[in-house]
Amino acid sequence: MTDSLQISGLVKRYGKKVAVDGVSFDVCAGEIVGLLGPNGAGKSTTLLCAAGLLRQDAGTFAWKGVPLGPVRGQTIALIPETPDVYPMLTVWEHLEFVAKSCRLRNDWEARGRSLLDRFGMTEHAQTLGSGLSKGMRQKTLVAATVLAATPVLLFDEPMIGLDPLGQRELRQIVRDLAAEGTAIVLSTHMLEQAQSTCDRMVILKTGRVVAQGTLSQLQEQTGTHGTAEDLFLELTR
Amino acid sequence: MQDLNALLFLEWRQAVHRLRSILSSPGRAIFYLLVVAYFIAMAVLRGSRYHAQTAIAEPFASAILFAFITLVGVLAYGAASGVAGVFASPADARFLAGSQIDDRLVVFWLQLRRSVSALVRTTLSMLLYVALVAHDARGIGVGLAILGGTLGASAVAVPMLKVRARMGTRIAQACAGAIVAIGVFPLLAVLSGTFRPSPVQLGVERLGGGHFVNALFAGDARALAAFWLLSALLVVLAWFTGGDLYPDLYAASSRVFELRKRARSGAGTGFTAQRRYRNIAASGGLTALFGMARGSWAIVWKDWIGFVRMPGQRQTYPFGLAAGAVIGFLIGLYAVHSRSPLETMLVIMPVLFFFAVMWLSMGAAVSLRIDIAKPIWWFGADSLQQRLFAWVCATSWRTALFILVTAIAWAVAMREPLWALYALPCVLALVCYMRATGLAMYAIFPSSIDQRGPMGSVRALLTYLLGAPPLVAIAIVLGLSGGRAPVAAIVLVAVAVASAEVYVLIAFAASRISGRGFAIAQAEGT
Repeated sequence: MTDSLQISGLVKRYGKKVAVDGVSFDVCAGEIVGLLGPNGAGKSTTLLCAAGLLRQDAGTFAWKGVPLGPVRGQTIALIPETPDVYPMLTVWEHLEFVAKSCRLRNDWEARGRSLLDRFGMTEHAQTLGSGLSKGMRQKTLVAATVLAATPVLLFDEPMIGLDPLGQRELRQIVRDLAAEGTAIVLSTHMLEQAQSTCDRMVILKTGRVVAQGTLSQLQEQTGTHGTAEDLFLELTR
Repeated sequence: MQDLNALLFLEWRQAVHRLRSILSSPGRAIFYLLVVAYFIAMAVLRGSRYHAQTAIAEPFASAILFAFITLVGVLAYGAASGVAGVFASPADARFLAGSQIDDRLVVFWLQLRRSVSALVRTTLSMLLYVALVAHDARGIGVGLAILGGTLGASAVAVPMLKVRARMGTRIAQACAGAIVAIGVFPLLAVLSGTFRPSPVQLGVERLGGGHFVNALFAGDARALAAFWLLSALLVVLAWFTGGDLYPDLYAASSRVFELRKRARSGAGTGFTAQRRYRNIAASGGLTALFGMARGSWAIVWKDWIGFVRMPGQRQTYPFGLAAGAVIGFLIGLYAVHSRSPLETMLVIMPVLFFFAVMWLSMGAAVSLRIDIAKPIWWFGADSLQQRLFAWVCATSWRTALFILVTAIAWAVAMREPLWALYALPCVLALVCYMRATGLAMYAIFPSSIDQRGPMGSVRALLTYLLGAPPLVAIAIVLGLSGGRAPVAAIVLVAVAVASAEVYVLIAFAASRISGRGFAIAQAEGT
């Protein structure tokens, strides 16, 4: 069995409204899958269900073919749209808490330092969460998640509110993580970035998957030979 | 053990940084020291009173036990409705749900966190009592009973959440309602005995609840052991039922974050509030009336629209008013049936005033960020002081109406309708004055951490301190008239002085906020 996260038949209702209606897709280790769709398509709901923060009405999640239980924090980590950190913990203490709460081996400190160095956060190691910019909070969350070595990472609209440099840095981090074998789902509205960053795309509309595949596969399916934006508009019209 | 270590690390480091941030600002440190001094003084005062007290008489001893059961039932009902100890922030949800800590421990920890201030205060009070005034076991008995009760009451939310998740909200609410009924019916039965002793009241008293409460408070080892055993059983039950509750706690957390935001902005709260305002057209006589507002008074209209569009608010608010009327009427009835209604009211009024001040002060955290951070709020020619005055009125009238309805019902029960007339200006002045106090404090310490923290106690303390000028004015009027001044004149003078204080407090807040609106809005978020 390949290392992949399989989401099958996910259904989530809010009262009578069906927010996610039978969504199925998978993400392999080392792959970046873009989750695209207009507002209200069910992207965030899908990610919250996958992270175990919303209880799905139907559907299963499996990693390497093994069904995942309701508490999935060891396998799937979510980086939400607003990258909230503890305002009264320093960046380093965030890593320390993750090391303690995830029972990491004693070598975590060296890995933590190297992560901060890689993300350009070394000089902010002792900065409180309340003093961090959005980009730095994003990086703190990613560093903490990478430290915990969670094999699946879900990013919900990670680029919103980041300046161009921050966006470029985050894109590079995402690519690096995928190159190291992390399975990544990236929910985004930024179609050009999805096109340049993602290996495959899953397009949602009113809670359903309307198309999925690589850019060329999607172009073939729709007969549209334009950009990701053209495809998106064609599929979600 | 490792899991507990991780959670303790999280709380400890946050507490250390919070303390450092307080100490780094001398002004803040002084206010926090004031709160600590107030707490110690109150603890010593209460401790010495415990020593002086003898056993609690019936029916009040039994009433304490049944009131506690009712409180546990209410907490259980809250959990059954999705209101429980929840994640403190989205970061809390992300890090705790994403950790490898046993989720049952996290869930119970969250419930304990909700009671942490009660637990810490009781423990410190006990230590102070033992160190300063202990001559018998009474204070320790009270302290241990409160600790055990808090622990048990915290634990009860978890099984209720589980019932809700597995069997649905209705069944969970029915179970919790049963607990409330077990407490509230005997409570009403024993309290009814204060009017006229009845066989039902005597029957409930014979159950031995009052005897048990007195034994607990006296530090009786067997009573305490039994009570703590019950709490321990509830904790064990919470442990076994605490799995797979993250989605429910996350949903409840999202609601709480939203409600907290609205409560601080003065937009009001409602238990059934969902995440978004309903997109409905506001209409009706009151909307038309508020719609006539011009200039800075448009803030009142804006607040009304928010109130109308908040789901459940229009349903729950009249229910709250009705509850206030019933409470006021019952208090009036109790006083009028006592041997000396005036004397009884002189005993009850300070207690009610104390609770009103604590309740309003604690819950009166101010948030202006959603207003002052928006350019649209600053449009128009009116001064900031006028806007803030309109804001105080807009966010005070609902509370004022609730207290007023309670006061009118009380006056009716007392057969003194004129008192309702006197209550009108007094209540309006009191609520506006407390809101203005909160606003002035916000202008000095806008951070939401301060607002939610000990600032509640500081607001209460200030309310008492600023209550002195109206009292001095009343004393002067009474002195000048030789004690023969009419009640209307006394009310008029007190309200005039309180109104002047409101004016000064708002002017102070305006001077602090003027030219620094965006900085204050930013500071609020830190």
